[in-house]
Amino acid sequence: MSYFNFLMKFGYRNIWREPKRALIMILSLSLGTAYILWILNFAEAGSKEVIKEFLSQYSGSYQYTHPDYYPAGNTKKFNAFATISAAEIPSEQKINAIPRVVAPVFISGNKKTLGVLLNGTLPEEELSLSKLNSSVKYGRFLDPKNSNEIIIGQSLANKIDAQIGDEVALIGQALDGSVANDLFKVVGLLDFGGGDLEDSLSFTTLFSAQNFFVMNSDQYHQYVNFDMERPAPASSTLRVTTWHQLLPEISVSIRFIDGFTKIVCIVVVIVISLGLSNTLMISFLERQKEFEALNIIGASRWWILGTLIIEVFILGTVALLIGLVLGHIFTIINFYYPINLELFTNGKPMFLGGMLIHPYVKIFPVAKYYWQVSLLIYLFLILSMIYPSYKIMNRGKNAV
Amino acid sequence: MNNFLFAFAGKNIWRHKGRSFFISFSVSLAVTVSVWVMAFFDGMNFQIEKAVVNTNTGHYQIQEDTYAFNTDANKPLVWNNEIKSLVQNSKAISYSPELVLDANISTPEGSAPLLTIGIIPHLHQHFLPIASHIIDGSFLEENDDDFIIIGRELANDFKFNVGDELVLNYQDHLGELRSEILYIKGIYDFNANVFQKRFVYISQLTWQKLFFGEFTDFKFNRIPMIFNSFEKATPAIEKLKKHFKIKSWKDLNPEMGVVLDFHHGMVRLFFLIIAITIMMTILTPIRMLWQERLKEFRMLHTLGVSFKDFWIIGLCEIILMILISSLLSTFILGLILGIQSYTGLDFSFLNQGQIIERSGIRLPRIVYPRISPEQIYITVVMVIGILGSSYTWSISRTLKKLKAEI
Repeated sequence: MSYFNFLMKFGYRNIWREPKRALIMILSLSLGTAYILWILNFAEAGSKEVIKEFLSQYSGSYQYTHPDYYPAGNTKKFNAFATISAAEIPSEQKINAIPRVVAPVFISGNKKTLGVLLNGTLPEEELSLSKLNSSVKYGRFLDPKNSNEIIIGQSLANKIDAQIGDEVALIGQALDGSVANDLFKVVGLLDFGGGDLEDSLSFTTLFSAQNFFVMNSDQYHQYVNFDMERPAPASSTLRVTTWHQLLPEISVSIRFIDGFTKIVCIVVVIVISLGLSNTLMISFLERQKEFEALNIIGASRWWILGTLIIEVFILGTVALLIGLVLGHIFTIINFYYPINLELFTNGKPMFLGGMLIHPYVKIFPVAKYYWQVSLLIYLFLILSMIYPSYKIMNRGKNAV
Repeated sequence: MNNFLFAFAGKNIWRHKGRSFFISFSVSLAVTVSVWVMAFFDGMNFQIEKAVVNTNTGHYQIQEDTYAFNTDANKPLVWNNEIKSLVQNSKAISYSPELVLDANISTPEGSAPLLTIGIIPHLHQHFLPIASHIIDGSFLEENDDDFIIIGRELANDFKFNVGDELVLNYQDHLGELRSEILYIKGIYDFNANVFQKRFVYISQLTWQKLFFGEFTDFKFNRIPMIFNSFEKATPAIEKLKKHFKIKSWKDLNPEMGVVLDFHHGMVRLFFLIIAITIMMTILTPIRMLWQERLKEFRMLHTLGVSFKDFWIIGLCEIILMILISSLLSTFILGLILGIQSYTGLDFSFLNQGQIIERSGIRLPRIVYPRISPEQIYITVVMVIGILGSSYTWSISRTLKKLKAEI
């Protein structure tokens, strides 16, 4: 033990004989570590916040449907005849969930007839679970007591020439095979910032939609769950579609950004390692004479290598600890002062899946990154030691 | 004298080949990775832009005022010689005056909304390669009447074949609901499925007869235009803005426009981080390299070498290191980008090989990084910035120490 203590002391003293140099090395490694930790926390929190912001407006986290509702698994097509009932949904899955009737219809105004997806929903649940209400910029949200009210996108309203208070005709296919058609009163206009969904979504009460499509009061198309923390359950007789399957384009975009962040981290570590390796090599080689003297008084090459490894280990550990603390502090700061992602778009609003989103990323610490980053830094520290160590071991033929 | 100092600097670099190579390699690697990321995103953005432009959008669109506000097709402008010459003088490489009608079809297989576009076939063929992507039947000709071109996806979903009748439902210029029979002349396979299901093409003759009841002149609600590049079109677009309402593809597809801006923002942040990291990491070795020569400098100073000469030696070393690093970066970058601009980078693993469509376009599965002269410029500037500032700081610190010693 005293031998190891001696090695530790020796290594530690070697670090501080060039304090400025050691400080710069520690600083560069600490800042690199802090940045990597912060950016990984940011990526994780960013993805979650963006997705949460987006999903909570309309799509939800996952949904129960009849296995045939999405023909051949294509979530852009709908088989309105494939319905489910509340009795088929496990009771714990009804918490934080909204039953919906969702089928394509044509909407006809003064000037045009356009295709739109009609959503029949429960207004009270929608108000408490989703953020749909916040997108109603003109008029009001649906009144559960009234029937045949409709909310449409502002852009759609412009195109078909419909104002708040106007009546629009809906034409679709009823479940009894007849042509469903009825008049609906426009009570609100959705503002998704001009995104695609402003043209393609419309909402009415569940009762009105069931009436329109000639459905029973216990027939639905979707049971949409808004619990963002709970994982999607395994499907039994019904189909469970997660948002990843529902919106694969969004899922891929998020995974791409996450992948890019990880690549950036690796690149930063490689760049730091190269610089560190260079610094270590110079610092070891300038001590050539010392090593020879140590050899003469009986220290072996392995002993010298041991002191150098301990020196680098101490330096790396100090830098790593400082880096983790700094990274954690920056993360916590951005928890209380969230980052607006519009910083990345020159202040332009962000769109996702045809909707306007305003993501303020509240960065939170993710425990796994603390040990993953530490392992990564140690791994590259070892790699950066290889070449300088090799040079030291081969430095003199006369060394012991 | 300067030649001698230059040779002196060269020998200084050469006497520690390993260290010089390490420093140069670190800088080259950082610069290469940064510029490669830029090239990668340039390539991806270019592919996204091209995909959006090819959804019958163009880089820019001239739009008639009412159409620009609510896509009302009732007040088209006449495609006359004055407008023709304005468009031709804008240096657009292709353009297509179009009339746009929102219609729908309803069959036992289901119903679907259609964007029915009235085109002048010979102009549209230059604008979008629909004609060369006809998989069954043929494309429209100038005087074709009652014929329609549909996409593969629509044909598959509704079991349509060439020669079949298609009943188009729409509201005419008076708002009256009408249903008219058209005959399918061709089926195209081009762009994303969403595009193929929604975009159908008829001649302007047919369009005007359907909507207005008669054909008068060639007219347009919009003229999508394609330029050599989006950025280079700006001066011409500024001129056209004096006459017409103009919308860019970013206005028409804001979601993908913001994606591009987001990519630019990410690349900028990446550059900043890499620049800071590499500066921090090479500063120590460069400073050490200079400080271990302190004794030499003292001796040289005793022999009469002035501080100004030390600075010149340092400057020569900077120039040589910049040359080595720039050449190394450019070579590695050229090699990687040269290969990848042909082979591309396959990202289909992100979604198990499935084709992903977003905001009306098919997202690229294979991204081809883009080489541009701007990248070489950025490479050299970055190398100069990193090495120049690190060396300058190290030289000044060493000479300050030397001054203090003597």
